[in-house]
Amino acid sequence: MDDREFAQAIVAGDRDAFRLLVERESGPLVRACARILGDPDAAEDVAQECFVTAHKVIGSWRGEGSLHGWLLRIAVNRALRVVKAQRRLLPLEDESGEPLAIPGGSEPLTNVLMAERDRLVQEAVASLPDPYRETIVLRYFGELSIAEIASETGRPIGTVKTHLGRGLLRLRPALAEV
Amino acid sequence: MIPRAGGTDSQGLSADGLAVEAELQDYAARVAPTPSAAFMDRVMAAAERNPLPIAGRSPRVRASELVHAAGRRLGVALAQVAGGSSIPLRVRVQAGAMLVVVALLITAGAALATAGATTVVTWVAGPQAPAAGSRPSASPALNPNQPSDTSPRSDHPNGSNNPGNHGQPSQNPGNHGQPSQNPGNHGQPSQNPGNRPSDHPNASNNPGNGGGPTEGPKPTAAAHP
Repeated sequence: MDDREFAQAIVAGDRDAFRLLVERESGPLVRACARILGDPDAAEDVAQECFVTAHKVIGSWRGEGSLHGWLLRIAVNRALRVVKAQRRLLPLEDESGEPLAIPGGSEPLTNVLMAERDRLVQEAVASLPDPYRETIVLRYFGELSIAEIASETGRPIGTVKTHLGRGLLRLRPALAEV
Repeated sequence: MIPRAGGTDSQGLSADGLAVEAELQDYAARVAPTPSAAFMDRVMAAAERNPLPIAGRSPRVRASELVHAAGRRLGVALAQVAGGSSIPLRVRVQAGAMLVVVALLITAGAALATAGATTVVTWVAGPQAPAAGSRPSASPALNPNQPSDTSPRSDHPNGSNNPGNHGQPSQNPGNHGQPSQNPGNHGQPSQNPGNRPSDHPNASNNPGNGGGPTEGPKPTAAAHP
């Protein structure tokens, strides 16, 4: 079943088609959202909202590009809005006041440094201006190729390459701190 | 599948760009959770709680819903017009009479407007009506007293642009170019009584006879002093 048949079946009310779509796309969507948010649970929440939204508006999908890219773009934009709204700080204590257990056990310092670096990557990417942010996120967090990004965003491939190169250069100072 | 550094899509990137790309790819490889087992059920349950909106339904279903909605609205409107049992009969009769009066007023207004328009058209078109004896002009918008190449030429040898003169230039209608201050005589003997040359030494200085004999009634001899 191709993307158009998926969409038509879902619009017609085929529940199994929607389930198949969720099974196929849940992994990439949750991964992309987790890389943006840094929290797997929050990533699942955002991915769930994305699927519900897609279920509502899939009739408006015009068939340009892939259904995967369309869903991924919805999820990525929603996750970026969540990041912008929250701007959460990394908690050092849980609700009871006890220090958080650091995963990794034997190498706690390494894990702390790694978590700090991950947070730095998330914040640096989230603070990029558009269209660099969207291009970087779709390419490295959403795992889309440049041709797929061009197809989804409606921009020429050369423009996407330019945005990608300039976005990477803008990230360079922030990532060089660690 | 996480895109690796140095691929086709990485061509053209600077060294700094490639370094940042490698950093992002390492991050993506580290942060790659899989959905939980309950994720699928949660999504399906959430989708069930949010049925498809009208825009996402099939055209047949949408058309059926629109027809039903229109029928409901029409029924409500008719019930409101009829008034139901909540509006007294006297009020409903008054409302109906008022509607009839309004309809009559609208009809009378339309009739008056039509009559007025007809009057105005008649008044405007009246001066352009062709004179008796002249041919209708092919250019009705033109003044018949002005020369027109499109109007038919007069058959009269003395053409006149004046109606009735057949294209002959003339300031005195009916004189056909003859010098006369008395219109309508055409050089013929005057029909006007009197003023014929008098035998009296003090002949009258009243113009208009052109010296021609008159066939009018014999004038009374002037008793000019």
